[in-house]
Amino acid sequence: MMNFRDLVRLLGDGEYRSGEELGERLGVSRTAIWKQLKKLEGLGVTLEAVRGRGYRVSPPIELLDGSEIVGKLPHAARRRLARLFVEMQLDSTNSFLLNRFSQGAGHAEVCFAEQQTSGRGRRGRRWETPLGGGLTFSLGWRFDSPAAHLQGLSLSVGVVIAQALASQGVDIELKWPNDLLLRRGDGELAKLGGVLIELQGDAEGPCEVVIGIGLNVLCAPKLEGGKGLPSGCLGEVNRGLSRNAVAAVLIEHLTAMLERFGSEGFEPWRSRWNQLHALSGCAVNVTLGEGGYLATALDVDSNGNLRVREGDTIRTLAGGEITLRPLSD
Amino acid sequence: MDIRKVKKLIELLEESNISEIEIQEGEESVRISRNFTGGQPMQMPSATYYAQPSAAPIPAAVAEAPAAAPAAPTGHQVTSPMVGTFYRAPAPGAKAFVEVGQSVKRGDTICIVEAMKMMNQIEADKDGVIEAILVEDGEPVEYDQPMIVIG
Repeated sequence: MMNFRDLVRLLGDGEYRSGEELGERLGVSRTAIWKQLKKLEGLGVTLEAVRGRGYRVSPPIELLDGSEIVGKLPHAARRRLARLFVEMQLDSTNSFLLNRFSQGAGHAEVCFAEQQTSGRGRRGRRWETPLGGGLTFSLGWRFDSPAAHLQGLSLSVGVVIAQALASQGVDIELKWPNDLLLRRGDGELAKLGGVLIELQGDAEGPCEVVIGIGLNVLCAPKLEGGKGLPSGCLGEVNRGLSRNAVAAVLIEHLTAMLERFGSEGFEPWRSRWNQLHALSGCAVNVTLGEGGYLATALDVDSNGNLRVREGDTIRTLAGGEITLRPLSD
Repeated sequence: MDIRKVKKLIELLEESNISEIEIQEGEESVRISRNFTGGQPMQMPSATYYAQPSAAPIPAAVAEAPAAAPAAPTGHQVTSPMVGTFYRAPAPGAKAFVEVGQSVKRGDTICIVEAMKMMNQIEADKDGVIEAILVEDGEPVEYDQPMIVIG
């Protein structure tokens, strides 16, 4: 069985390579190479084929590399990370880590997948990125505290992702509770990815948390349906981003936050969250189950609940959804 | 994984204070450890924690169960561990985790409580039969609010 990852590496280094050469380098027949090239195209990769020279992938794809990611981590972050998995394809990185927990592992483990075959968004929404275009990964952490103490964790995740990306030259903003948004030059907001946190365990603790993150790094997926914000990518701001560098800086910031969160809760990240709040002072629709109302978004309290003003009343939201109200409403 | 990578990992290990590092790429996996005893011992997989929504057929008795008259359930109440939104199914349109009359085992996922995008999988904390589901799908729940009764 040839290594698909090696094929992508060979094709992605800028040189043209013939089917024959690829077959020799990888120790398989030209027919096998041809089949793999078809598979690659099926993953949304554009193959450049030139008669007499061969194939290449352009622009080149920077695949994730476990040792490069670990090599970029500062010592403290390396110590916090128990295991790093870099997979070519998984059904879902969240399911992978939930499964690790059920086998007695999972804590401080991080799992990246170049491709997810059934990546999940919140409430089952689909989320897909082309090969090499984004980062999809999950991080597992075990807390001794009961689930109720983890209020605000999803907001802290948003804050530290923003801090990590700022170190890569990309400033992002947040929408409650933790949507990652890019404000474009014309003031338009675009969605950069999503976070899905799954939690299991005893109500009194300990509980096991899997944080799944999908981030559009170099290209943005086309979203199904025209509802909501358009999708954007980090590359709009910084074309020269390295996926491995972004991966490392995210691991560094997320694990540092998780280590503190168990004892300190959301409070240390609260003021930063409010500074990053994209919809502060904006007119919003609040949707709660079937109902909803119009309000002005304010800030988040120490539990991570969003405060909104409806008429003369200040309401505190623990659930529900906030959407920016179009000016025409 | 090529030998240069392994060398690089050893260097990384030496210059930091960690005792063990493991990287897995596809089918290749390398673990480098300072101790000859290796890393932590293999742990036995703990009891299946998060079971799939039970595929067991719903007992035929359901139809006759007095579902229409939830006369003060007497069973064990499963309460919400946090303020959030109650969901009966893993995704909209998907099959509900449990229905009234269904048998559950301790550890089966019976519902989800979402709090600010944290999906909290709630497990049955005892074996039994679902006697009542007290909250509508998508409704807010308070801390400690009873959601499901297991008889």
